[in-house]
Amino acid sequence: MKDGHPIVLCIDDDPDILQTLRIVLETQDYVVVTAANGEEGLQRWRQAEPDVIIVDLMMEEIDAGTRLVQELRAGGNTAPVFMLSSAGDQLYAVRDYGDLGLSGILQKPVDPATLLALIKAKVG
Amino acid sequence: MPSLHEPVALIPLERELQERLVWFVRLRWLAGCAIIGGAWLAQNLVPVDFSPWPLYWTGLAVLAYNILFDQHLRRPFWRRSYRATVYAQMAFDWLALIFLVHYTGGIQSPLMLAFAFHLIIGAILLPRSVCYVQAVLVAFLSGGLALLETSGWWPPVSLEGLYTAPPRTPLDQLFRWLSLSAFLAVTALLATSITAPVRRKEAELLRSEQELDQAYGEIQALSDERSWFARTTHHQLRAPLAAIGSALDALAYAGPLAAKQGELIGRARRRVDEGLDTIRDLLDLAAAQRSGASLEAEAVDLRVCLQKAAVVADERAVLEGVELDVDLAPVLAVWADAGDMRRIFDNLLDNAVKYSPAGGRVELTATRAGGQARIAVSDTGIGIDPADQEAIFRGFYRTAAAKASGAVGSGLGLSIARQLAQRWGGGLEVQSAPNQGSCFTVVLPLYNKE
Repeated sequence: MKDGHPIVLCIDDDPDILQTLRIVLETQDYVVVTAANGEEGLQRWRQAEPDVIIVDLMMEEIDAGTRLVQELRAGGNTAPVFMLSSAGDQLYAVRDYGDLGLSGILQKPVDPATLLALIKAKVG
Repeated sequence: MPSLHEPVALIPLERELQERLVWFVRLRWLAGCAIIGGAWLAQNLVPVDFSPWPLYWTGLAVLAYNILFDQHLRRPFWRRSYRATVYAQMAFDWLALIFLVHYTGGIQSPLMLAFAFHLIIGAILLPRSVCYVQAVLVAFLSGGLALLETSGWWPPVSLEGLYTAPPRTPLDQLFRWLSLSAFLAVTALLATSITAPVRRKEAELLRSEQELDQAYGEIQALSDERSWFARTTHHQLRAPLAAIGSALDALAYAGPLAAKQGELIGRARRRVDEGLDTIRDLLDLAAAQRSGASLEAEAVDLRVCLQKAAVVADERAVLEGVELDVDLAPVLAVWADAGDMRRIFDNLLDNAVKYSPAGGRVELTATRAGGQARIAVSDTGIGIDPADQEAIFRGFYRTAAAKASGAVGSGLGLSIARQLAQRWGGGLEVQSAPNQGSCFTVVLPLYNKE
């Protein structure tokens, strides 16, 4: 939380997706922190202590997203994590992410209303 | 490329030779016992006046050096010097044979024939030249023996009573030695001539095998490269469309839109979906056209697979106001590629949700019956005219009702899903009527652990 507003950490290597997420989330008074890759994501996570995390599955390489989620878990993350993916990406994901403790998997392009409803249900 | 007769040919031959070395040791136990037993029998059953002791000693010597070889072959790394072992065995055997021949009547002994066995085995297992060297060596050995016996330096042993030895005149010895040598030379020539084409064929076979292996490896690499390419292309094509779609969706959040702007954005958004659909179908088509080496079958838990597909479909169903019911029988395993299974059900569920009106219902049920898994996806959507029910599986075919519904699609999905189901020994059927909804049923043989 920052001044009473929940912090959302968005991690995606596509700057346009990040900017879109930022615009949508900021209209609802969320504080948005972005990162362009897994490493930066971990760093931002430590600094910002986000209330919600949104991670892209296919970043620089296949499964970069699932690896990041595992590292977040190992680091003691308690914030809900949503994963962004596309139908085809899932077929190629090497790891099964059923047991990653995700709060949800969202298909790209992400419907803003769905995303906002999911986040609202988690952090209000 | 190695020449036909050279190293390539030796590889299976070498392997056989190594295996035979062990076999020879086993055979030699028998030979040693046979010499001792034979001498004892000859002494006790046949009225021949001779001393069996030299034969006993020879048999014991054979057993003794065989112990050494047996021990040697139990050591690790003996294969490194197996050729030396082969020649050492041959040398010891010949020495023993010379003694045997000498104590059973000299070069008149019928045991002289045993040299021919060695030559024939040599022709089969050793290079041609070694076989000729063998023949020459045998000629020298037997010639030396004849010389020693005739000259009286190593007095001949006569088995008077068993067979009558002709007088050992030098001329007779010479004649016997010459005919024996000629006999051995012909044996070596015949045996190597017979085995040479076999070896050549073996070399050709080996080379074909290597070429096949190489070709197979190339196909595998090509297939890997292709699927890597498909995967990368898929991501590269999808990413910009997904970003455009997301941005279009977010426009309304960036500020109020006029009605006409909203309509144009809606149209653009639909085309983005169309593009995304086509990309997915093309990727699935590439997957459906895979064959042979690139297929990876495993026991797929259909329940898990269907649940995952349902999670994805439900996301869209919620957006479109469609209810998705899932009812799956426990333990449904099929022998297939997990990716192929996902493609089939993602496709069917996506269609069912896509062509159902808001407030509609999609049911995913899986049951088992008679060794088969039956997975049905039914909807309350636009339905399919009976006249179209085969055409929809043809590919790039969309019914008039589907086009009119406004839902996007390439018309490839069902044809791909059916191909994939058939690949794993199953099928895909449809039951439908216009405006009555559709029910697509996938039938797959259940995986039997036995």
